[in-house]
Amino acid sequence: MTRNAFLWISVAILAVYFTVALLAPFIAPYGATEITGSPFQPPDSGHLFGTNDVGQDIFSQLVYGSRVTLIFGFCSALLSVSISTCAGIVLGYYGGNLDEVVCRILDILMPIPIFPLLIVLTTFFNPGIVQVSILMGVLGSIHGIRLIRAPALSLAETPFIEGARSIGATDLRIMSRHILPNLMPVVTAKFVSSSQHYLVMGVGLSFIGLWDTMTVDWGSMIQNAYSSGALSLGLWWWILPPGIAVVGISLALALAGYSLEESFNPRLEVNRI
Amino acid sequence: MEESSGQKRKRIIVYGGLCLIVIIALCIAAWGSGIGNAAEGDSKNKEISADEVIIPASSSSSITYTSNMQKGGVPPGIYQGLVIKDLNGTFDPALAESWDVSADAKTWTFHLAKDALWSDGVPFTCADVKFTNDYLKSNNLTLAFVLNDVQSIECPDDSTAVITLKTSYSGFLDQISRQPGITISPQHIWQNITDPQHYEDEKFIGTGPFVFDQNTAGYARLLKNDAYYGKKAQISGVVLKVITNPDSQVLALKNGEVDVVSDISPAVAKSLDGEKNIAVYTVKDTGAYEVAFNLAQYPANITAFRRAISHAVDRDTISSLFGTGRPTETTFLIPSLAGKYVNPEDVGMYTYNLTEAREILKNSGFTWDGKGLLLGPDGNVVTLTIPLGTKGQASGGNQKIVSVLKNDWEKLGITLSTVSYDDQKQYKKAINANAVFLDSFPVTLHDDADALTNFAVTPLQDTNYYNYNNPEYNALVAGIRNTADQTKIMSMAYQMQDILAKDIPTVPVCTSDTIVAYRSDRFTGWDLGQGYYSVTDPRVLTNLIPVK
Amino acid sequence: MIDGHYLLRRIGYSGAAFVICVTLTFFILHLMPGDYITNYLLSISNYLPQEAVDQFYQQYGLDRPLWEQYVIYVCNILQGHWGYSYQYGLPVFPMIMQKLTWSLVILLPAVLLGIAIGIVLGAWSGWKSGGKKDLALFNFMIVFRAIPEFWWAIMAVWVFAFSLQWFPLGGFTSISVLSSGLNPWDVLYHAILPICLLTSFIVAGNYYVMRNSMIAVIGEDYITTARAKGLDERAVLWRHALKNALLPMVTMTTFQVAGIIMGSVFIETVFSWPGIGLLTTDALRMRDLPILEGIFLLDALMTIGAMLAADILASHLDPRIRMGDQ
Repeated sequence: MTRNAFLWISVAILAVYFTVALLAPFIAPYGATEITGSPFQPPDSGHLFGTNDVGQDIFSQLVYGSRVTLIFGFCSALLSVSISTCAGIVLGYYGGNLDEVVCRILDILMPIPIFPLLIVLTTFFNPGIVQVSILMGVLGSIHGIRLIRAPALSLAETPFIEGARSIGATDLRIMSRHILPNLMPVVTAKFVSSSQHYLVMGVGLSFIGLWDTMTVDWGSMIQNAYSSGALSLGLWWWILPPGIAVVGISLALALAGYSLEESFNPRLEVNRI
Repeated sequence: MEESSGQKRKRIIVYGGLCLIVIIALCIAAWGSGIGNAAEGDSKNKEISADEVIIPASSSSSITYTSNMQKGGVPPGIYQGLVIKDLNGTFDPALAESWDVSADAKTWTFHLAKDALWSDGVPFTCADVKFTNDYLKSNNLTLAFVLNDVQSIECPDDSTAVITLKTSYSGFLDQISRQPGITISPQHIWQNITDPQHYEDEKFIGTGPFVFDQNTAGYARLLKNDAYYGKKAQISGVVLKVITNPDSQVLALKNGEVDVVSDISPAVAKSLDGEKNIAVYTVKDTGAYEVAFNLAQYPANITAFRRAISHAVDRDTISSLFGTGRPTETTFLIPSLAGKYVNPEDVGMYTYNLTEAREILKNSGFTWDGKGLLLGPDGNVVTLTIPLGTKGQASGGNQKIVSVLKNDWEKLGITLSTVSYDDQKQYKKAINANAVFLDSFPVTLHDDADALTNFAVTPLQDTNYYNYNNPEYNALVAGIRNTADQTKIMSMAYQMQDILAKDIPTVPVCTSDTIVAYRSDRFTGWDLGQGYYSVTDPRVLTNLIPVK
Repeated sequence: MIDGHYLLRRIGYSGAAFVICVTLTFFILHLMPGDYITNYLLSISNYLPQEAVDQFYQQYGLDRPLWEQYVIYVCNILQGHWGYSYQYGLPVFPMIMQKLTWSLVILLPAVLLGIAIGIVLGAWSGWKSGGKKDLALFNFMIVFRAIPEFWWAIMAVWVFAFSLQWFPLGGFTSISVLSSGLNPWDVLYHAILPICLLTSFIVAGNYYVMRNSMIAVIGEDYITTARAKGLDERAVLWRHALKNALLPMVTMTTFQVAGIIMGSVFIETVFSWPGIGLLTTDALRMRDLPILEGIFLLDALMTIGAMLAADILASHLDPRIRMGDQ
């Protein structure tokens, strides 16, 4: 019950973030890089969160920044989970030599460290958030394929699938109509946890300055505030909003992820009560 | 399948133990190789005295020193060049006490300091000067490009160096003293080094007012050179401490952990105003910004368009956004630094006046469509993209300029967008593909007649950023190079500025300042005035006096 | 028990992974837009002296075709030559080692403590699963882990170093290092805040895995039986449950040891701790390819080695687990 409540709360929070990102031009009073006031204005009615060192409106930056951050987090996660799901189901369903060969290749690719690669690729495709998120999705899918393949494999051997096959259902139909729905819980949980992971990583990369330095996103806002005097001048309204925004969405995703995982993993739940 | 639990536990312990041993071995190895080196020779270390000045360094790579012959950094105040650049296109003596130049600006004779010593006691002679040039070139070191113009260096006696250039070059002193410049290295050390590319200096034997002490764990320390031939330092040493975050540097200043912080923002400076024992000064005009045109791209290839735009740059508003900036009213040179080289006839040419801009556009084939968008002579809507590089990015300088331009140019019907580039090479390419770009650089590039070669096409420089190529102008550039006569140089510089005012390859916008804060309870003498924007400048360091 | 065939195959895969890794990093780095010398020269001069660029290319063999550079590079690393940094002209390996040492000052205690505390807390929480204390701890850990590392670090610096001034703002040691040499206590004083943060982070990660693993184990029949037989709870916990629940931790731990190189980028940035993480970002910005290649090579070696060790260890401890044979 409480888990379910958590899940709904997180979904609601996520919905708010998405609405803000989608409707950014209507919500934000100014452009993200527009200079609309004198530097370091404290919060007032004209500037909800005040202005930064250049005189840009922090609230507008926050609103527009949500786009970059969400695009990176969710695009990479979506792509990575889609690839792992498709590949996992195909491998699990057909098995045999294909499975054998792909598994060997995965064995080889698995130990390749992703994080340094991500750092380099971010620089490589700078500025191009979409390209980086596509690449990250592809690279990140390697770890997910196994996760999906194992249950797909055991599903493919169940009498229920054998039955579907004997009444003449095509392979594609079996995979999409019978196997995929049964795997949805795993896939969803994986999607939620990956998006949290990528999102935080994107903000982190931007924070250490390896992202496009001109894009306004939460990471670069934190970095800018942190290095240009927010702490020494005590300008809390400059550094806190982007930080809280990241923390908020990350928490929502994490809670949703754990709740999902628990509701789909009976064992964890049984032991809970 | 089940092994006895005892066996299993033993196994876990054995493997766990093995893992731990491997980890510990790795660490010990690393400690041995890293920290062991750094901390050697503790016994000779001098106590930190109260009159050593502590200056923050913004990255650990900025205190990673290699050697003076390489492009990497060396500690400040140790090596000296022949001359050191000063204000108004003049030069202070360094290792050369005085110098003469032939009328064709081809032969330069330097009279060297007679009692200069290397910090290991060996006397400095002309042989070191000659050696530095020959060594850089024979070993193909990157810095050799600075001395490309040098044909040969002769030593008639120990304290005279005669430098013959390949072609006349009146800006030679500027060339060897401006960043990166050339400092002289000791022959007696370097003649034994066969692999300078990969040589790591540990002693840094130089002639300057400071000697190198050590470089450890995020600190570098220099001590005063007691045998220095010139004005000796009154502080006993300099400590550079790595503090990567600029904001932390300010806090360290407040705490008294460091004695000075350079390059702070106007807002931070304001907040430090009331602080006890902290003083702030401003070094005027240290950075300059311009809105520049690429004359090879439409519509910047139309002179009337450039003239119109020159009246659509609101310098006053932009410089007010900078907080410390001043609008620049000249064609290129900064009056406070270039002084007499600025042609008074060409000051205030590009006044901000949108009506005039519109008028000029109208008279030269530009029209407006129903929505008020500007149509070029070809009938298409004029849209501009400004590529932004990392230069000028730190203080948000580019954004400040763009935000003002965008606003004004929209009124002219021009849509303006920006694309940013992190990499210099891509940025350069983008400049070449777009009509307008912003440039920002240290004013050392705007301070004398030689700076005007920026717009030239010469045998040495087959193009320039502006793709500007005016034969009359190029002839004047060649003329300036070939003479050492200051009056001739000045009259030619005036003519060049007249041409620039007519052709408008660039619209100077404003200059910005460097603000420095220091502990007034520790040292005085920081503020040497205009031009001394670096707190590690040896002239600043030797001017410091400890507060007792 | 391990059979030789399996071992050989695993080693073969690791070798292949290493080759792919080296190739990938080499080509990605060399195809990256921008190069060191152009950036450097343009940063100090307003025009680009082409002869200096050519000279540099020649010195570092960058004027050869890419495949030729690759072959030379591979031959060199096989002989143990890791190349020279573009920026400093110094050999890459000692440079990396020196920075790594400083990183290890924070990373090593953090990883060891993090693993130990994570296991203990996770085991306890899993054992007590469903209880109030377990739930409280579990929720706390979820929230803690969801907040990004660098945000915790900024907040910690703000509160403990800026406001309360209990700890230094950053750096390795205080200035006394210049006169009296390195003082381990002083280093520890500077390192304590980053170590605590990193430890908490590793604890939170390990806690989650350990707790789940524990929950899975206590659901097994033999534990239920042992408990039903009325054996001492503590004895069951220590002798049976914990031991089996530790299995997945073996993999987890090796990963953490492997990820050590890149593990502290954020912490290093916030605490001005110029270790391997800052070296990487710096080299990336300067396009100092040899340093980057060196760091990634070391990282790949450690990750692949750790994975190999984890595989062999796991299959040794529990012959049912064989990666690639599920």
